[in-house]
Amino acid sequence: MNDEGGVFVGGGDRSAARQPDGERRVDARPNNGHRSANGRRPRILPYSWIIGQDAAKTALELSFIEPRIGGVLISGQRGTAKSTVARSFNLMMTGSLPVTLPINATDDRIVGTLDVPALLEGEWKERKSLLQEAGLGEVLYVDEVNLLDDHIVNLLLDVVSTGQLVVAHAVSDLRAEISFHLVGTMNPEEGSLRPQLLDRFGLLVEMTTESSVDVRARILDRVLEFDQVHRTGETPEYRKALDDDRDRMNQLREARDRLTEGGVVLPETARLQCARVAAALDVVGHRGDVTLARAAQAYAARRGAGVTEGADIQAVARFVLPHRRGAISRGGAATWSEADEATVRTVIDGDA
Amino acid sequence: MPEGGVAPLDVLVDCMALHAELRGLLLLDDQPGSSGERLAVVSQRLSATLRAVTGRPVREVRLGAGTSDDDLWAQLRLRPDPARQGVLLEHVPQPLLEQPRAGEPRVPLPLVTIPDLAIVSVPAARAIVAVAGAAVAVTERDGFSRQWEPTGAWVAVCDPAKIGSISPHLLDRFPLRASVSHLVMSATTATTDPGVPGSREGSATVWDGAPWPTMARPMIAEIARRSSADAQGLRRPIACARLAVACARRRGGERVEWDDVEMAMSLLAPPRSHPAADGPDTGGSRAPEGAADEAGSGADQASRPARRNQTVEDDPTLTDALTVADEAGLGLHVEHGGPAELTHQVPLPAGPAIRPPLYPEDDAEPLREIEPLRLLWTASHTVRQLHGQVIGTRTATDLRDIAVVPSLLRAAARHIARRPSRTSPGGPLLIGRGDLRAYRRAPVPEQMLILLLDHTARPGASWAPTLAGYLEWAYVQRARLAVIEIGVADGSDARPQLHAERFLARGILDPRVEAALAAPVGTATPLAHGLDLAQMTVRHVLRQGNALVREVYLVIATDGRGNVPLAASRLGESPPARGAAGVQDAIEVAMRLRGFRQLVVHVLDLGSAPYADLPTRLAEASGAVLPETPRE
Repeated sequence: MNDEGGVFVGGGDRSAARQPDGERRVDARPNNGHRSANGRRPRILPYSWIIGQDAAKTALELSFIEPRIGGVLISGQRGTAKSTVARSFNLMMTGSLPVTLPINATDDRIVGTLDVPALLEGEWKERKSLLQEAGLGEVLYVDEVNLLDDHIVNLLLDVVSTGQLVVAHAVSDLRAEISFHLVGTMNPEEGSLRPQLLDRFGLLVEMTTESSVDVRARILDRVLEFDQVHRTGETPEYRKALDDDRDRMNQLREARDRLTEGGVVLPETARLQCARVAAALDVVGHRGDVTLARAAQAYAARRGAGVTEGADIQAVARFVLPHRRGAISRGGAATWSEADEATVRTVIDGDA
Repeated sequence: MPEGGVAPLDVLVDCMALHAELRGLLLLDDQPGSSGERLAVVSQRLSATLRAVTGRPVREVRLGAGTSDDDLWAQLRLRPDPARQGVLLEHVPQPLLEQPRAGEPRVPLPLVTIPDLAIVSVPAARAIVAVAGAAVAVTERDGFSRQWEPTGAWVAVCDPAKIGSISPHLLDRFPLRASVSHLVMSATTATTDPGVPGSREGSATVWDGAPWPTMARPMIAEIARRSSADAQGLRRPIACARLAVACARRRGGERVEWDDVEMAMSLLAPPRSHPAADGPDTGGSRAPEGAADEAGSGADQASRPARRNQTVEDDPTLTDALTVADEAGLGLHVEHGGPAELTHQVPLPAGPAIRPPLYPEDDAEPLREIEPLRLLWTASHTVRQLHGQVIGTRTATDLRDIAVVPSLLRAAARHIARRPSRTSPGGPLLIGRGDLRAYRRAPVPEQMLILLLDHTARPGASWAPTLAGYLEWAYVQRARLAVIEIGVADGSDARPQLHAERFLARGILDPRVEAALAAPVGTATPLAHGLDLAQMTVRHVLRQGNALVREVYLVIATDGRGNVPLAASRLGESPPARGAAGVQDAIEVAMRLRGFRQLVVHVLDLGSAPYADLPTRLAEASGAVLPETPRE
């Protein structure tokens, strides 16, 4: 990893508590994917302090409980806290921000090469690529994923679809098995995503602006409170939020363990329901059926159940299927309507 | 003007310095070409205040049409090797990264100025989206990584008339807005602001150790209520609330008062009446008395600064070009890349002193520029940006487009052999001339032709006679081609094809093009879906990635009689009732084609009675040209 970051010393010689602008005088962290050297939490709202956006939270939690779901794409208008939800979830679950692929990344950092800072000093040292780092932390986060350059998307698709990173050039001959799930955010106003990449996201969530005045006021209140915590230090409410985050993390880990250990059954009926639901909604390919079953199982694990039921399928269909329907291959947008919800209900009730 | 004569510039600048989450200011200026000095007034005030408040040096960074990724993030700079063995490479992070450097006890705070947001380069626009206002920013380039919490300030100028051509995503990164003339006029005439005791340079001591102000819930509810009709997410009310907090902080208050809320609202909310009457006590920005009492800090309890000298803004007769004495904030040190030194006369644009709306993009439709294909000289992308995708490297013959990492790898392979034994093999890497590699890139056509062919309206057996001029142009220019077909023959089961089909070709010699020109005609006309694919194609080639096309011709050959609604095309379902939904959807989608600076739309009018006006309506909606259409 890069040692260039170091400790951010900007801000002069005043103590943090006395800074007029309340800026914290410490960098988030020098390295990608780890907490800062001084252990401070990055300036991200605690997960339990995020108001609303239940769909995005649910999708992220399901993807954690069952990693084979394959990640989450959060799509929504600007100002809906897409990035905050994604980062805050990772922070809660792992204690660090996710490995991030920025839109300005060059391909050498994606597939890996020698450690350039070390090389400049004459030292021959290999350095893990972003994809390898993501494999260690399970998540590769891509903000504004629809703005990635095409050739970067190609690199990404190569690795995601084959599960292998193959690099062969003058100084490296690497073949590594890599597994991670993608978490992406995008604003659909800025352009669409290639269907091949879209299909690699197990779940799709459409985030919308909260319109209730009461909810908006609560969000404002929370944002101001967090601004204050950031300046003046932790409050009892903030500490409680971190405690709540820890509790939530433990619940999710427990659910994941239970699922991994076979503690959540997917009966034959539920499997058939998944296939029928996918067929009824014109889903292209079979990845949708499989992902629907896995997501439903994760949903059952999340609510503490031992058997996957029709209601679990009903709850997750809106995340799994919209971006796998025939319309996408025709250049259309991912859509999900009340009629689709009713179709799912009808299929499940018909099987019950 | 808020607070009876307190200069809005002072308030905004102080608040930006005092509240790191407010460090983005969009200046609306209908004459951005001559806004340099007005921007300089704002940036120099801000620079001084940031230095005073944060205790950090401020380094100005200017973004424009020619800004490249290397300018923004980091450069590898060559320096001579003392041992004369070659040259040494040094990694030089740019100020945006806020990276500590040897010998600098304090990391400079970047002050990013953007003289014209409408023509900013793609890398610069992406940097704004990625860094401005972000809690965390990341860069991963040329072997270097950094993740940091940005604290810099961003000030951009934008012509309200061109705001439709700017991505809303970009505009959203600036929480504060102001009319530049309104701001500068008030600043240049206002006297000392009683809200901030002491001089600006020494003003940081006023806030040192003061608690961060809290805001009562009724005030928060009021801001939320005011923004409830706003479908633009929560960034605007959040900015307003934070501005109120910063206003309280600015006057040293422990709590936000209703006056602070009023001031924030008056600075950020669009005016409801003539500004002469738009004082702090008018305009309905007062919270209900009950709410104020509930907050325990009614407006009347707050001491309101006395109204000071009448400012230029208050003069409703002001109609001619103005020159106003600049009485404050000059001569401030800008460490790097600062604007030209100000004269003491700041020219202001002509026009009445009415505050324009601060969010013009909400009301205005996306507007086409007058000369959409004529790139301003400053709007030209750099040569590197116009190059295509990297397909390999070659020996460099000059220092343009150097492939940094491959060059380093080649040098590394020869490193030990080059170092004489007396020198440590672990010393700095030497780069020889023969090590330098440049990128080999795929050529990128600078032009693109998009054909939207409505086969149900085709005037003959083939489109070739109708489209001959466009096809010749595409051949001569070696333009890329996208063909979108609608109304092709029904399927074998006689079901109409309800969706459009698209394919991309390197040029018109692609065999699919000839086939498309004479495709069998069907019965359905999913015009809206075809237009939707067209606008997505345009958006992709003009706005996504760095390898961008410079000009696009979209030719829509149709009679306008779309009979498949967009939703039906997407879902592949036959519409229950056809009616005019297909036409209406097509018009709505066509409107989204406005606002692309490098796009020219031609609608080939193939309409006939009784719906002969449909192509014209389509052209009006999309801002298209209606050329003479040759028919057989």
